[in-house]
Amino acid sequence: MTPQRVILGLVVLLAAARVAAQEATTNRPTELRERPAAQSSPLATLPARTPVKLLGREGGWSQVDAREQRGWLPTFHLRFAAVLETSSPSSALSVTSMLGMGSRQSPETSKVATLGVRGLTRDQFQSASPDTAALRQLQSYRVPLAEAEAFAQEGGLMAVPVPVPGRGKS
Amino acid sequence: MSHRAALAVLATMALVARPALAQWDVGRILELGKKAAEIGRQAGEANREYSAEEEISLGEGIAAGFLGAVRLHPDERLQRYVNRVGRWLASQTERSELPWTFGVIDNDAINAFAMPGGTVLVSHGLVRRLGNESELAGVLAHEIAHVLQRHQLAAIQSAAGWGAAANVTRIVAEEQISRRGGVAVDVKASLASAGVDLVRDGLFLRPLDRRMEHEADLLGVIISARAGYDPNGLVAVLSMLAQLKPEDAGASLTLSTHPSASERLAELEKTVSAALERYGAQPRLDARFRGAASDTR
Repeated sequence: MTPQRVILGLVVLLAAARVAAQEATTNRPTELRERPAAQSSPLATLPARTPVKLLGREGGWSQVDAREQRGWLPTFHLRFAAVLETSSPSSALSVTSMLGMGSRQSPETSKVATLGVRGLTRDQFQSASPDTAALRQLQSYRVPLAEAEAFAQEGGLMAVPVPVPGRGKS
Repeated sequence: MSHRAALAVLATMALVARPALAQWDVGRILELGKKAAEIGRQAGEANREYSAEEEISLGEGIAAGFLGAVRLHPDERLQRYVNRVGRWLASQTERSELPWTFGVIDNDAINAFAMPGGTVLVSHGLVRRLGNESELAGVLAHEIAHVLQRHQLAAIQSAAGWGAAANVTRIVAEEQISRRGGVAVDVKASLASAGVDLVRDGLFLRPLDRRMEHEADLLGVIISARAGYDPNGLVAVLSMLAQLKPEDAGASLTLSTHPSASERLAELEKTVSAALERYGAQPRLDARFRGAASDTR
């Protein structure tokens, strides 16, 4: 196989993983709506387990393509195909599993096995010595309450009393 | 092999060799260790509540240890922005007076961390995948809820058989004894140093109880709604997490220490769908978020 073919093969595999990653199904019968709002007109009624392609999100709504129509569904009405998994514990840190190749993709498996493939690792923490200069830097970013209140007001955010369900004020 | 060493080996095996079960096995192992270590002697002292001052000192030690491993993101404008959002959210809670401190770490993994006493860190990898300010608010409010409910402290206390955690418990117990006897000890320094040890010993690699995660989600929704945001920001973030692709391997640490995003969504629908619907028309602030986070994407 030529290098170009190998690269093409990789691209195809990655593209396949990407498409698979966007799949979800409806978890109950639900209305596909024109806009992300309950008052918006329904475009279609989708039965439970309708496969959809996920396009975007807006608050509690997800934009989808379903049955050749584009519209919005409540995110709670979707079941997401879990796409993160590794094929075996021993390959948890291998490049293969990082790229999602050689690992089966099953909607039933939702846990990811790896610890910090390219994020934070056990070793990174174990060898850390405390950085008090960075802590002071971090604390210098604190803002006074008055500044936060002005910021909220600028954004049109208004405090509202919302009780915790089943309790008084949290 | 000492109990501690044996536990370390067991914990490592649980985390590395049996990944699918890792989240729940560690708790059980720690529970066994707790019995084995026979720390019952000080239990009465150990289980008392921490003072806010002790909590803050411990949290500072944890933060200093954490920052020894991960750098802060250099964008000061972004740091200030995240602090404004976070401080506003925290002001809507009963612990508004804590020295709330928010920060973005320079790391592409998808994660957020709460430390006792009011320090909350989010990764840049998470921030750049968010769509608007209400989503950021959902993430910060979830972490704020962990601080409010003292979840990390409860985890440390219940893991007293784990070396570094036992040390924290011992310092707090000694402090109470010395306070009665009138002997001054530098508790703040001892706690800060114990906090560093906690980080080295893998505090952030240990999962919290899943009930704690669900509680933080529920309170996160309530706090966001109180602060005037569309509380569905957290729902949107969870749906983003549920769709992560294999190449988003940076998500691994988040996902290995939390219940699955789908499970968390189902739980939110069960517990707070009324609030989510009622306050769903509150602002999401897309433009302001883009302005603050765009340069760094």
